[in-house]
Amino acid sequence: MASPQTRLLRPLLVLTVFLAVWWLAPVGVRSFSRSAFAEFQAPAWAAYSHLKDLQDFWGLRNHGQDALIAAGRDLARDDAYLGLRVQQDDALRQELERLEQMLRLPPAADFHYEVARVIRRDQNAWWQEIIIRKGRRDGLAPGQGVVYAGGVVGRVKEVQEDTAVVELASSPEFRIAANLGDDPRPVIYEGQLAPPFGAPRGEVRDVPPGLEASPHAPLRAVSSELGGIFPQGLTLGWVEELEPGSDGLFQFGTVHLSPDLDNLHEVAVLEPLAGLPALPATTTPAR
Amino acid sequence: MIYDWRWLLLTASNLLLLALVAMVNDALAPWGLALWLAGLCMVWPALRLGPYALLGCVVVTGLFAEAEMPTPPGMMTTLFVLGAAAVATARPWLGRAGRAQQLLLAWTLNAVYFIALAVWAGAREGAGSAAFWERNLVDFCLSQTLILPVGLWFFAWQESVLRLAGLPVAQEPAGNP
Repeated sequence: MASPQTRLLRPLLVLTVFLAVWWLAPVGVRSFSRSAFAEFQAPAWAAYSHLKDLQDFWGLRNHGQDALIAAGRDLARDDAYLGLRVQQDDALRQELERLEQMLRLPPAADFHYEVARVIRRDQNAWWQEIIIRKGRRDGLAPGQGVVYAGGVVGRVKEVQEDTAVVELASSPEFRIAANLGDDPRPVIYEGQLAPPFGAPRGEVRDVPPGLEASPHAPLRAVSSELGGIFPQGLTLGWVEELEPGSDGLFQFGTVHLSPDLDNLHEVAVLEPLAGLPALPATTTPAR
Repeated sequence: MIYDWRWLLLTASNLLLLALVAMVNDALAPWGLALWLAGLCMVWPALRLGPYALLGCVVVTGLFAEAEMPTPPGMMTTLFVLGAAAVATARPWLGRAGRAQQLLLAWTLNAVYFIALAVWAGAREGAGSAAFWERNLVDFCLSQTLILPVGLWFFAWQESVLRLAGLPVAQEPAGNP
């Protein structure tokens, strides 16, 4: 029979022994347990995401026929416009290939667009992430770029079998090479935490002198292909003001990201077609 | 009772709470707000379960909570274990804690976990950012306010689940491992 004092300290002893064993275990064991638990709960989150899709579907079914006709008409217009743009893109691609051959340049990086639904957003003061419904099984790997209709979303951070964690462009850990406006000189873009109720934002650093931005004539911050994970020219955000940096040589400024970044439903992961000849961009739809 | 099955029900309740909070945070993301209510998960198990059952409950809850967090592996599990150990060791002095004491314990544990995460993230991101501390302050106030009504519901839920399963609610069963 244990003494009352031993019985009193029993919870503490058991939990201390556990902590000792846990922290003496190799890091691989702890990482494996984390990965196993993430894989274990992934189907539940995927099911939740499918339920949300179903909810949206039933919500849309309540729309009247007039709304559907109007949406169909708008889509037909977009379809006609985008059809023309595809033809222009084909012509530009052929021109690019011709120039690459003439100048003996390496082919520009091309990507396969893997479209994925957003399961949930996990954005707080400590990290800025979203979880998407595609993973290793679909060819995703850490480091791949993620985009949406409005531009850059972020970068794949972790990949599980059927889900992946994406670090958003508003995360202070997110840093890429970028360009401002039409200026070919690269600058550094990094995410910045927004205050409560604030729109997402980032910062550009090492902006060369001579570039100017104002609220009336903002500069568009775009991705640079220098980093290798994004194609050239995808919108990051808009810079409305540039200030001189502490070194007096370069400037810096806040990048206003699209508020849509906090309300994403579908994104596309850029899988590089490395080592292959440049092919027309392909797309795999969301599941 | 040789084996205390209550840990399974309390763990399932914790996972339900964590999932619900994640869903609320998903909806709050466009406003730049987030909730943190993990402190609620430790109170009832620490006040009701024996050491081994408590360990199972706390470790499974911790591993689930941190599975998709960018924290170092084991950080949240360790914090959960330390919090539960502190409450379990103080059980004789707490006696049969009523709702008010349970809420106070949850409020304190939640604040400790929140501050630990803020310090970890501050060291990582660079604590110089005013927006970081501003957002931490707002999220902290929101979480510490909402933990009271949510705690009332959650403790009542845990009690109901145990009663529905025909398991003892008040005390650690005799012969509990």
